[in-house]
Amino acid sequence: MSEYPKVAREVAHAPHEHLSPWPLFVAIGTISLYYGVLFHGPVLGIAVLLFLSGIYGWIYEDYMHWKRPAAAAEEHALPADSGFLKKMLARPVAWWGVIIFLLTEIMLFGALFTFYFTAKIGQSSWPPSGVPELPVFSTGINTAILVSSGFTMHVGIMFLKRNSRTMFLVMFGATIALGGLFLYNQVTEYLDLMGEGFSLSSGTYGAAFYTLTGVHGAHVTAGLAGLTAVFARSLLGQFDAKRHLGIEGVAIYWHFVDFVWIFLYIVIYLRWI
Amino acid sequence: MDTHHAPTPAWKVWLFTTDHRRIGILYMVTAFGFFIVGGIAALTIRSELWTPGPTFIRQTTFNELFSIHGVTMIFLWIIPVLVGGFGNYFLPLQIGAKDMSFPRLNALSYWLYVSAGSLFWIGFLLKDQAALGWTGYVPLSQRVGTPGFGADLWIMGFHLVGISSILGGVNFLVTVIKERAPGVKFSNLSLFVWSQIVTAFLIVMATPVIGTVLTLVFFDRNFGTTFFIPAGGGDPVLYQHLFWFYSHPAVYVMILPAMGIVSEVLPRFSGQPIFGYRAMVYAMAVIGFLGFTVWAHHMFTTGIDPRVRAGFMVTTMTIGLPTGVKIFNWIGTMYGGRIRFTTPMLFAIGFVAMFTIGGIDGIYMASIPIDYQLQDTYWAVAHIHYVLFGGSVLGVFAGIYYWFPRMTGRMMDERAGRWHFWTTMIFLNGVFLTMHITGLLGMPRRVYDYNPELIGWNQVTTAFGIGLGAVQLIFFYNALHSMRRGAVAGPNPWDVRDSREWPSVKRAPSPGKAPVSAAVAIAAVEGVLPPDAGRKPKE
Repeated sequence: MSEYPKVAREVAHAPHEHLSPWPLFVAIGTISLYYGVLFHGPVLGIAVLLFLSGIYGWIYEDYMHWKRPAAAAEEHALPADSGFLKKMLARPVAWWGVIIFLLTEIMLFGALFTFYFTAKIGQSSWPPSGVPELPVFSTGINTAILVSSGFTMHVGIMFLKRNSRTMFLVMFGATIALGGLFLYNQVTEYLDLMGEGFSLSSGTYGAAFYTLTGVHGAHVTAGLAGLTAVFARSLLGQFDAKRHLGIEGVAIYWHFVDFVWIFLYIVIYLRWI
Repeated sequence: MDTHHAPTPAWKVWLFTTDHRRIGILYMVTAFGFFIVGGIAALTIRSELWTPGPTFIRQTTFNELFSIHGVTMIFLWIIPVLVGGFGNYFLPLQIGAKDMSFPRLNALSYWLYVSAGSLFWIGFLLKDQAALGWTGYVPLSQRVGTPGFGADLWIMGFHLVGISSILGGVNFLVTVIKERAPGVKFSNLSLFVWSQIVTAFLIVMATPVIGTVLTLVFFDRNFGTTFFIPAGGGDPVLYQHLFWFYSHPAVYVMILPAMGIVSEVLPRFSGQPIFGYRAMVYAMAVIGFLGFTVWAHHMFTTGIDPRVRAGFMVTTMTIGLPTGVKIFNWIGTMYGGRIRFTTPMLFAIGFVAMFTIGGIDGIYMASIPIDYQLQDTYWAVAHIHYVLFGGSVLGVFAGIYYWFPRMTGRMMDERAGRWHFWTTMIFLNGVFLTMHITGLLGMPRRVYDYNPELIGWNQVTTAFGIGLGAVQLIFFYNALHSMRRGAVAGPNPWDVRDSREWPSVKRAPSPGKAPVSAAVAIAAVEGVLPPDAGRKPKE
């Protein structure tokens, strides 16, 4: 039997799970963002609102509509002697989603670093003359701040798994604070450098520097948004020792952002590679 | 099932659906729409080329036309129909899954694709249009080359369709990892599913690179950067490297799912299993991997280091090996079989023949000295259209004719299908075979004017081209008519004896109920699963 008659019947009785307005809504928000970038002004503002409300609606539907309690981060159904591959395949859907998504992010930063290294090789002196020295020391402190936010998050999850809810919330809050501090310092650094005349238009070096650090900063921002959303859900008591997949997913993403920064710092600031 | 609600209105269902079959249909219908407009662009180009010099359109319009033709056919037709259409519809069915891992993300991919189409075409229809080819090389795509915002729209359309693709790729990979029904293992996945896996992997790894490089060009155009502007230290050739690093794997995205379809159809109508299942899987994986190592064969004439070029020549020739394995295995599948020349089978056999020709064209160009002559001539156009039309599009038709009863419960008309096949074969070979000749005789591609000595060949090409476009109407009429009035299909409309797919087509399991035997049946490749696979183990 074909599916078509059934598909036709299901139109009449489509279970609610199969319908959601949010993909269309988020798509409209996204296309508006593109037009907003092109035309600036109020279009961009409306677009940001549309897009963010779409994302909010999507996550809200996720929690409210499916009314699933937070998913288990670990699968316990496997026998203890399962091989590595089996254990990996048993990881939850959301975990795999984050991991494969991170593959795309690696390719994104890979392309940017390719540009950086190609530009560097093509020039006789790098950095080119006339550009200010990058603030290696203060950015080093900032690096330490970001790395410690990774630690606080890890410790926080450890506390969660031991049911120490207060300490978990404290550590998680610290993670967000440290991440926010990192961003603030980055913005300050940008303003300082631009004050010295070093901008996006300062040759390939300026282009590479601001794009690499800027794209990273955008990812930190998105990570902070995710962390905040998960933090809010934690305050509402939606996670516990066994069920905290949302936190694990955001944690993996945050560690990735951290790792990219370390590589960035080594390559661009320290110039060890 | 809640029977107390009033039926949901159809517009709501289609706008808000997250069901993989409905999304698959949305993709197919939209993609075919773009196929038509992209085809009209092609016919306009060919008509302009009826005579050298101006014929009936302006030169700028001509440049805009071949540009929109390229992006439409690649990003709005062939990839969406193969991956978004066939992949969405049949991958979950063939692994016994109830849907994708992320159904709403799936729907989002579709709506982003539609939005991206609007960006490209609004750019085309407005005054400041982009005439960048589909390749958008700098400095033509820089502000100095194209001052208007048509190029910005082009970049944004490309960028957005890339995001749509990436989300789909992630979805497909997670789905294959996580949603397989019990008994459906990697070792017994259908070749169609394998083709979608490799394709999804290519999408995930390659597409972010094109998104990035387009963003860099956008920055150059709008924010004063000098990524590819020599005055600021930028290197235009780097654009080509980054562009082709994506765009070469992209062509495998365009062909692999069609190969997957052919690997479904050929065994069914040869009455025997696919020849060399394992080799077919490995060949696709090797093609996918090697696809990342050949990109600079598009750049042999850019003056890059000859040693680098030599390396790419070797890798490009090497990729012919796994491809050849597949072709021989398809032939081996048919050899000694009881062939039934149904319409899907005709298209699948046509695929093998046409793709072989197109592939050999490519191997010619892999040789650097030959490429010096043929780069950017009509030989390249012949090559790409043999593999894309003769390959991918024939594969799409094979899939539509084959799976039409599955999707609609009705059969397409066989006689009309045969007419469609034979006329398409005649006209497509007429168009693209003659392009080999014009290419060898030195006619460059993307030209509005050409050497008047070539007028004869150009007119032959154009005449066949108009024919090719016209006979697709047979297909559209057949499909539309058969949807309502076609012969009702039974559970095994192709009378397939040796596959477990058709007789036991049951809808994939609803949550909580997993009819394992049906799921396994849908997923099984004939003869690969042991006979008792899928039965519950004795407690």
